[in-house]
Amino acid sequence: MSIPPRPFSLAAALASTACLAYPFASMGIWIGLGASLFLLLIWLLPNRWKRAWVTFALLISSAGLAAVGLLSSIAPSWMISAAALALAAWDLDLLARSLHQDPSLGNAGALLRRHYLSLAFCLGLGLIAALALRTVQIQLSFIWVVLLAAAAFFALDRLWRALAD
Amino acid sequence: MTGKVLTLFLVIFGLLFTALLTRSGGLAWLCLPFLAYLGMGILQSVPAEKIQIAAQRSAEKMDGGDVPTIEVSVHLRNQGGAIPHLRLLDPLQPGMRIIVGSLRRSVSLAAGEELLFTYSFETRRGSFSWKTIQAVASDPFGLFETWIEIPAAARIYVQPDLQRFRPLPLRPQRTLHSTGAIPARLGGNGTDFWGIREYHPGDSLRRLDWRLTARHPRKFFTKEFEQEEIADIGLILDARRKTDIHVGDESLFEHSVRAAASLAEVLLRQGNRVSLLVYGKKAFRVFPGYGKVQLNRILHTLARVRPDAEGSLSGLEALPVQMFSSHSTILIISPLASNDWRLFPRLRGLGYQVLLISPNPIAYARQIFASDPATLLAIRLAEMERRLEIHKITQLWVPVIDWQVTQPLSPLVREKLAHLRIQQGR
Repeated sequence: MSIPPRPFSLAAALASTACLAYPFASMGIWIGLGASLFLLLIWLLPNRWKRAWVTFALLISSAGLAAVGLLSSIAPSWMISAAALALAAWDLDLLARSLHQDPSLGNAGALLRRHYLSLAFCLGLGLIAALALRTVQIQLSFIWVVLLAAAAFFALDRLWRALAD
Repeated sequence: MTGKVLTLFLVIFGLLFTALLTRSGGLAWLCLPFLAYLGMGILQSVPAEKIQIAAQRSAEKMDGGDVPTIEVSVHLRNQGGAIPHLRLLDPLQPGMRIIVGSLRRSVSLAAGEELLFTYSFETRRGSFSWKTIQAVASDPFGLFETWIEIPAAARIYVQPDLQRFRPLPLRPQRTLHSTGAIPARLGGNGTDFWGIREYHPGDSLRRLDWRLTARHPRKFFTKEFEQEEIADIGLILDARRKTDIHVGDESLFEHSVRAAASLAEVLLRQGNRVSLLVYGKKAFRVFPGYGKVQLNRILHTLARVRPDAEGSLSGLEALPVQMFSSHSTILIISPLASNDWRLFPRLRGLGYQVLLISPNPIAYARQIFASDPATLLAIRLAEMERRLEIHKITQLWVPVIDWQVTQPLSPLVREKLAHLRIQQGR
């Protein structure tokens, strides 16, 4: 029988908070530190005490806090790691909720193992790619930035429509 | 697509937009873990056209126990590619109580893999049918779901349990001209002596009355015996929700159904012609018939019926009279509601012989009532109202069985059927 997702979710939330809190504390940004600890408190609440939308809000808040950290000149490696770990915590928290609603899921050991492996693989890949690519410095004029942004939005929009269909 | 995908797009768009506004490359790279997560979901999702699953369902009744248990097994075989996450769902049908397993199952199904999905439920009675099994195929993260219906048909009836009554002493005012066991007050081929008539060519020589023939030269006389025929009986079952009461897992309606099943069995066993009308939102009818085939039809109908909808029993003014032949005997099983007595003058006016079997709802629900003075007073008032209703019906020469469902029904029916014999003289 596979390990249930709740301990992994809590571990990921703790690690994400540590990646946020430590650089905020070392830079003296106490509001950032307070916000990180507040998010951790909510992550640690049992699922029966919080609604499903709270988990979504936690992910968005963690990503937002990471973005704020980046803009505050905190080392990107900490913030990118925090965002990736928050994504892992969010995914595993939702998996724990599904397990509670559908007990048969707990017996599907192969299913859980595949979920954990896929999550570890994609987040590891994303983290490595982000950390590696951030060292690449490209100077782009404003026009190129706008064109690339338009292309990115267009691509995401097409992807959205394709997935919706 | 699910809410998870919406959230991911929100985060990705938000980070990219902020990256553009602030011209910060770091924010753009922050999207990469989210894009990798989304990309993994897209790569492992399974499009509908690639899902090929064959399913075969069986439903079997298991022996043993007071309450029938049905085991449902669905054998699935994946004839397409691997499905990372497959969720199987079967609907919960009315009357089912799951005792083993679950109506849901989540698995990861490799290409060519087979799976057995089973569960057991118990039910007192019912008609259960399945056409398909619902399945949801998705990537491991549950980002992109594909809903499919896999054909897996099966059907099973669980007939209501019935008590085997001793033969009932029926004496209807009219009988049907088919050989049976009820004396028809007509001369014919029976066992009880009826009278003597003149001999007709073709009469059996064994029936000649030699004593009278000897006294009348050149004339022969034949003994006649009382013809024995069958009765035409209609059963009406009240399936209105307002007359049903639930106490725990049991309901008053289930007692009515068992009574109807038991009566149908004994009446058909005696060779009579029996029909059934279930009065509710959806009126179920079983047209008159005989024998075991008719019993199966009636039990199949009783297996399916559930109490529903409103409407006074006097709505039977629209009763399809042609279903119950004139002067037939009608047995009505109903707990009675207010003003239901109005049906009975009409039935008597149409010439039917009627017997009312009324499961007592007040006695049945006594155990769930509180014992404060107000409730006790309300119970007494309800009992008085019921007695008045029954009194109005009995004044029409309709025998009424005020049935406490904990008592056996057979002796009560036998006693009241004797009253039908007295009634026919009026």
